[in-house]
This record gives sequence, structure tokens and C-alpha cells, in this order.
Amino acid sequence: MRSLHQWQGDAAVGGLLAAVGALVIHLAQALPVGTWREPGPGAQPLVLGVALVVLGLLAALRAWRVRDATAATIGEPRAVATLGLLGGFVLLLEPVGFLLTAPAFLIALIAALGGGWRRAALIGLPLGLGAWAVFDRVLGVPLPPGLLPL
Amino acid sequence: MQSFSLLLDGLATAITPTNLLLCFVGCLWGTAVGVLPGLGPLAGMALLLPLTYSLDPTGAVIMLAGIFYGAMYGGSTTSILLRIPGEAASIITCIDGHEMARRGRGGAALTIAAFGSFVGGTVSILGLMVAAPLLANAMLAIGPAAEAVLMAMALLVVAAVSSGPAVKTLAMITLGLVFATIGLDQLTAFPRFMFGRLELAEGMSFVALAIGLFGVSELLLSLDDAITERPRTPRLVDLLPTRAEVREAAPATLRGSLIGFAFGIVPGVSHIVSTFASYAVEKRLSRHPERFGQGAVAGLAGPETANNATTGSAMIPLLVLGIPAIPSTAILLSALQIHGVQPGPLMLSEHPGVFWGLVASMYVGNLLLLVLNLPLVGLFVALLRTPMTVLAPAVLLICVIGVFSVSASTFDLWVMVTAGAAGYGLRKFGYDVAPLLLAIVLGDRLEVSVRRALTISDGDYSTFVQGPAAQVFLGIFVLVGALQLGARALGWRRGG
Repeated sequence: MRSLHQWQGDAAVGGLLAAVGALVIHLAQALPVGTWREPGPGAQPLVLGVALVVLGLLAALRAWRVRDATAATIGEPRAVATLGLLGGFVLLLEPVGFLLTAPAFLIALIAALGGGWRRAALIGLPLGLGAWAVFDRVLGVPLPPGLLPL
Repeated sequence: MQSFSLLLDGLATAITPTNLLLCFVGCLWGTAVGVLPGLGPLAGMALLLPLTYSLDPTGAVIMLAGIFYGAMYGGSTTSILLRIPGEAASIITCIDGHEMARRGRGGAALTIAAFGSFVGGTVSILGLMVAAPLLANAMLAIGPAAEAVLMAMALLVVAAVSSGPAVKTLAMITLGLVFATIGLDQLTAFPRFMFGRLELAEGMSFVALAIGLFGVSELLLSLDDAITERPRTPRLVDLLPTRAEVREAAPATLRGSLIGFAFGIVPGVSHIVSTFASYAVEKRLSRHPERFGQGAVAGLAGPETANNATTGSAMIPLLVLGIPAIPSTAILLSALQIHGVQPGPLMLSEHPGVFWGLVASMYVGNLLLLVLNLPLVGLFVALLRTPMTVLAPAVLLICVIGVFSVSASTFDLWVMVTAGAAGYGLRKFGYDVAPLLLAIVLGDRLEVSVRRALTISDGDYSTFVQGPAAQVFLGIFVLVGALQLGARALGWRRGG
């Protein structure tokens, strides 16, 4: 977790948007721009890239001028844990399979959010298995089988 | 009147057992997401969107629309009973609605709100029925230049009325337009920003983006707030309003219907603006303005009605112009497109079944909600007690299944996770992601119509300000801008 002032994060996002704009301009160089009278596939990305750079910088400048000093935090442990576990779930979903990863994800996340291991197992396991049964078997949504011979 | 017989056909479609069930499920789920803080109609619709793929287009859109207006009901329930606006449009209901509940008139407040919502919904559907065919005929005549202007104006109006500084909203719109260019260029099939990934040929998955930006990021944000307070179950004694309360509520309900309907047609003007407008009007007209904030019945009935009337009329720009006025209808748009129905002036003649089925189902749904809402209040309050520690993992699991079921690709899941993380960062620092999503939806058509118009006019840019249609759209934009400035001068809070 990192503590900062609201305006610092605000300005950082503005800068980041401007950087994305610059990247778009760079990548758009590879596309045919066409002419002013007949714009090609590269024209709109180029215009948008320039606009994004300008707007991002303006937003950053505005944040710096307003200087909202409200305390803000980024990367709270609960949010980071949630994103991390979600990423792990997605990573393992295809190789390991839904039936094994889904209950593991639910149990780990409920526990990580402070639900306690006992409750996590009691809720996570049936929820994960139930989701598989409902979606894969009843509704016919093909979920990745992974390691299990399903 | 032809509309009327078509509406009867639509009614027949809406009350088939399957569609009735779908409408019921949508309303129930919508009320649930409306009740739960952190989950709004957008996230609710995005989450169930993948489940609609196996349905026919009418059923799909009936269910999704049910979520949309169901959420509005749910939001008002928690606003009245617990002073928690389940979704942003119910903020104003908290003021007098909750005050009534504190004075022991909670049951009556719920009845007035539910009945007002029903009237508002009905009036706006009647308006939709009359206005849609007329507007669609007018729209058929417009060319690519006017279409480009319309689309650009819709986005700019969103920027003008959204919450937060305009420069941030414009940056989000620009970013969304950039995302919209990913994939094969529609006119030349030239690959853009694909990095060799075939998954990107048709652009980024809208479902993955919508679920990431609204579902996942919403959950991440709500995990931040420590939830300590547990709601009390309210006692629902005397649901019936007194005669005096009815007398005060009735005219406010009628005025709220008209205000809500008028505001819903204008692209970008959301529920928040219409509810604030209705509250201001009721306070001005009231013989006892000092009672506003102390549990004034009109201060509850007006905005609640306006809220639901806006929901109905927001369908007009979506169905007739093919332009989603607010993000929730953007999801409906993409649902229809997935099923091969392109909303727009031709929809009425090409897919009359879908159109009238939807309109009729909105009517049925409003009736369902009126019947459902009051007896089930206890259930929804119980739902509020589900701890976030259990709710968040379960909802995330639905997100993953939902995105995966569309494309069976882990690539889209990574898009969802990334969009969730990005949305979390953006929203934390005051960037509204709704305009981003709208721009992604409209980006393709905006670019294509600009380029087509230039081809037709042989590169002459003045084509965008010529012709009556383009000028009407420009005029509407100026009008909304002026209204917005006026509203700010009157001191209404800016809403998105």
C-alpha cells in the first residue's frame, strides 16, 4: 500500500494518458495516413494520439494547479490480493482446469479478504463445484477441463 | 393506429412463459444489484450479458432491460430504508425518502416510490411508442455526414454533463476512441494495433472491457471501504399511504413523469440530472417548501417517478438512433448487435418483433416490479447483509465464467483483468470510465461515417455543417450546453 495525495495520483494518471497518446502516435507511423481530403486507416489514430497527449498533459497540469491534498492510497492489501488471486486463477484456468482452480480461487480469496479459513472452505468449495455443475453441465458453457479427465 | 396493434403483438411476445421468466429474472437480479452498493445496473447487465448468448434476441434484450430498470427500483429501496443510495440515481431519494422512514412512514414511502416508478415507467413507454416511429422515419433520410455529427455531438454532450472536470472526460473519450480503432480497419481491412494477435481482428472484446471496467474495478473499489455498519431490518408496518400523502404525491408523480421523459431523450443527460430537476421543481411549486428535507412526500414522489421515466425514454436514442445515451444502454446496444440486430432507424421495420417485444416487456416488467418489490423488501435487505468477503469472490467467479463463455479464450480474460486494474486506478483519481466505454462503442461508426462523408463530398469538410439534419444536431448540442450552464448557475450538483 502506498499513501499519497489525491493530486499526485491524479497527475500521474494524466501523465500516463499522455504517454499512451505518444505511444499511439509512434505506432500509427506504420499505418497509411492518406491525405487530408481522403484520410486512410492511420489518420484517426494519429489525430487521437495527439489529442490524448494534449488532454493528458492538461489533466496533469490541472491536478498540479488544484493541488487536492486529500489523502489517498493506492494498492490496498485487499485490492492487491484480489487482483493477484484473480490473475493466478486466469493463469491456471486452462492448464489446470476450472474444477480445480475455481474452488481454490474462492477459498483463497475469501480467506485473504479476512473471512477465515473455516468459512472460506465451507463456502468456497460448494460454490466452486456448484458453479461448475451449473455452468458446464446444466447450461452447457464449456469450461476448461485441464488436468481432470472430464 | 398501427403502433397500437404492433404493441399488442409485442405484448403477446412479452407474456410467453419464457420471456416472462426472463423478464422476471432480469428484474429480480436488477433489484439485487440496485440494492447492493458497489454494483450498479451496468455491472449487473455486463455480468449477465454472456448468459444471453444462447437466447433469441428478444429474450436477451428483455432480460437485460429488466436488469436496467430493476436496478432503479432496488436503489430506491435502500435509499428509503437505510439512506444508502444503491445506485447514483437514488441519491436524491435519500433526502426525503429516508426522512419519511425515520418518522415511521417507511412503508408508505416505499409504496409511493414503487407506484411513482410504475407511473413514470408507463408514461415514458407511451411516449416511446408514439415518438419512436416518427423519429425513425426522420432518421432514415440522414447521410453519413449528419451521422458523424450526431455521434460526435453525443460524445461531446456526455463530456459536458458528466461528473468531474471536462478535460478528464474528454481524455477518457479520446482513449475510448483509440481503443475502438484496434483491429482491422473497417473500410480497408488494414490491421491496426493488433500486435499479431488474431483475437484483436474484430477489436477488443466489448464484454471483457465492460465487465473489467465496471464489474471488477467496482469490486476492487468497494473492498477499499471498510464495511462496518450492519443494516437493521426495518419493520414494514402500514404500507398504505394516508389520503393526505396520496394527495401530495399524485401531482408530483405526474410532473415527475414528464420531466423524466424529457430529460431521457437528450443523449448524455442522465438520471441524476432528471431527479435533481424534479426535486427542484417540486420544492419550488410546493406550498410548504420548508418541509423539503423533513420528509416531504412530493420530494420523494417526484424524483422517484422522474428516475423511472428517464429509463424508458433513454431507450429512444438507443433504439431509434442506434446511439446509447448512457452507458447502461450501451450494453443493450452491444447485446442487440451480438444477436445481429442493429438498433437504428431501420430496426422498427427490420426487427419489429424485437422492438415491440422489448417495449411491451418493459411495461410488463414495471408491473412485475410493483407487485414484487413490496413483499420482497425483506429479502433484499437480507442481501445487504452478505459480507463483501463472500460476495466479491462469488461475483468475480461469475465475471470469469461470463467472459470465458463468450470466446473460450484466456486472452479476453486478461483483457478483463487489465481493464479491471486500469478502471480501479482511473476511478480512484476522479476519471469516470463510463465515457470511455461509450466512446469504444461509438468509435467505429464515428470513424467510418466521417471517412464515408468525406469520400462523398470529395474531401470537402463543410459537408459536416451543411444539411438540416446536421444543423439540428448541432443545435441540440448548443441547447444542452446552455442548459448545463444554466443548471450549474442554479447550483445543482453535476451528475454523470
